[in-house]
Amino acid sequence: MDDRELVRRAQDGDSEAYGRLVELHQPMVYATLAKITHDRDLALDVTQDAFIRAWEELDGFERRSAFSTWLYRIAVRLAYDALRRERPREGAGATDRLPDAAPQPDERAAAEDEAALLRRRIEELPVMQRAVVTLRTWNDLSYREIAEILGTTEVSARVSFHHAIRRLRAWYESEANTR
Amino acid sequence: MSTSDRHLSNEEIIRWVEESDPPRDAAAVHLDRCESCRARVAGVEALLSALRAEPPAASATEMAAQRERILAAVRSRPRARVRRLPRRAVWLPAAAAAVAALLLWAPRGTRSPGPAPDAEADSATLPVVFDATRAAEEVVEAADDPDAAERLLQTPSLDPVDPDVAATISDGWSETLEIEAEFAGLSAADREAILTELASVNFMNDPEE
Repeated sequence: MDDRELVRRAQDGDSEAYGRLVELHQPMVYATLAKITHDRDLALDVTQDAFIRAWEELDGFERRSAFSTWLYRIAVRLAYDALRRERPREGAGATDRLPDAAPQPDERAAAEDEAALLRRRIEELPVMQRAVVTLRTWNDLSYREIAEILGTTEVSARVSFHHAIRRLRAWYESEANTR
Repeated sequence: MSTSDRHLSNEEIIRWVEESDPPRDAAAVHLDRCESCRARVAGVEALLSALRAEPPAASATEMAAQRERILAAVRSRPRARVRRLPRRAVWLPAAAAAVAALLLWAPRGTRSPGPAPDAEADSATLPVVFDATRAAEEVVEAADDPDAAERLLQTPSLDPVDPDVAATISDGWSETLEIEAEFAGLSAADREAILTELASVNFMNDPEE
């Protein structure tokens, strides 16, 4: 049974059909949110909230776009709100952040590999650019789909992506030159 | 200077890397002979590759537990017929009424934007510019998109050209809302008749012509 049929049944109140949709999309929604937030626990929380919110608002989904696009739209917006509210979590251990414990300052320069450096730089991007970069590189979505998810225009999504890549490259190169 | 003679811009580099099968164009010719640009392409490729790295997955147990929590919430929470904004059936007439009101309200001499045949005359007689195209687009959008409908009701679709006009627009918009409320109170048949008539309106017609 495809998404369309599952959605139709879920809209008729079939929670089992909705359960199947959750099963199908949960891994990718979580992974996308983990890429955007760089916070494992936050990504899990937002994934759960997104599916519950989607269920609550399922009547409003008119099936003009793919269910996944609509779902991502909810998930990314929730992540966006959560990141704006986000402050360092009390008692959150270093393992809370993705993917590794942060090294002590005196160890940092030695321990930091390129991937860790890149993650730090991505975290410094505006949330919208982070979302565009993730949806483009990780989810492999078209600019049109990204625009639909983020409620922006295709041109704006493309420009955001180019800005983000340019910034990341500039940071990347300047860090590489100083090491 | 042709593309093959100059270094590629950042945009061209990104586009080149994103293309699964880049065309053999001037950029390709340039890349064939420019080590510096090839290095930049390699850099962007490395960056995109790093960006595609898998995020650490949550464990299967965590994901299963989460599915259970989601389903428990779903079962205990019969889907409320959540409606933040009225559905299409309500919005289409409302949106159409808003535009109709603007058309009715638009002062004499108001016209759609576009090349003015006589700019001097226009500046003397056009206190406001009624963006009819935009209004028409908004009606169409509002019919399918509650968010667009909300924007429509917040946006008078009129571009102020000076502060006095802005005030006039504000007054006009209040009137619009009144007309809209009146419209909502009409019978379905009457609303339908107005919508049919509205559908035949050529928004680009200059009321003066």
